[in-house]
Amino acid sequence: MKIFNTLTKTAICLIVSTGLLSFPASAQKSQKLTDPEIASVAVTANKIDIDYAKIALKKSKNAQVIAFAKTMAKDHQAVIDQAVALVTKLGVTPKNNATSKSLMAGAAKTTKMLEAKKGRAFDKAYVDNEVAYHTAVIGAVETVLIPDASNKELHDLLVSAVPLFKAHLEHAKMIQKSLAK
Amino acid sequence: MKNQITVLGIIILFPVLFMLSCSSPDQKSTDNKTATEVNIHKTDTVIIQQMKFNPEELKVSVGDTVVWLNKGMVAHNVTSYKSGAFYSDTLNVGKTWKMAVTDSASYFCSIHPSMQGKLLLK
Repeated sequence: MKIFNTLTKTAICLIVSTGLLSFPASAQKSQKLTDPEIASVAVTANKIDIDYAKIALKKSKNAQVIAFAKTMAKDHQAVIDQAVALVTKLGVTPKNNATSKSLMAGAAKTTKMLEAKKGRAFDKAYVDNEVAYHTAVIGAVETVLIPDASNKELHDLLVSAVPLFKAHLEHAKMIQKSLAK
Repeated sequence: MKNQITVLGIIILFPVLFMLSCSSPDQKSTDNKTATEVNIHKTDTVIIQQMKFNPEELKVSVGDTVVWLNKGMVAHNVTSYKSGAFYSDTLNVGKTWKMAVTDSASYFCSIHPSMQGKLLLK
């Protein structure tokens, strides 16, 4: 199991390092994240995808892409709302950390790349990034955030978010296929 | 004079009482029929949770009612693959939507197209 986790973490590092994506190496290292740090990473990761959706809503004219971006904005906001409600209830203050900072830095690069594209090239870049980003987020949540969470309610919230992110990934892949035609 | 009023009263009241007594069994009969219909057609609930319709396949009969209850993290909907056959409004968390079954159907959540379900006729 330990070997599997190490391999998974290595795979995520490779995925992340090959693109503009951005679950940083610090999220995969063996040092355990605290619950306030996990809360910060979770909120940051969701906020980044909302920001990507806002760019898509501003730039895309493709109905599928627009509908997907609207769903991303609403769903990830719902996750943030539930995470904020939980940490407020638990009295946990999200703590900025190397992982959340690195996520923001990666997002800035991706945002720059997306802003530079238009038309079909933008749609493709946005959807390709959504596939890659959700793949990386799911990997990080399953192999880092969930195992590191100490509080049961925080752990359960992360567990219940995974099927949502997987449904987003499937949806993004459907659009990716459709755009390739 | 007093006797005439009493007789008149009886003449007026009798038909009214007669009609009431006749209408009561009909009413009871209707009530019984409704009760029978309720017994025949059942109500099933599909729980929306963990990005799935549970159960994904539901065996139903025409006239049954299906209730979809959203116990997930985000809003969903229930949309027939057959264009315009049926579709719900957006179901926010904790909300329900119900429909009387008229035929078998395949449906999905148009917000999250990987979520799919089926109503199968017995």
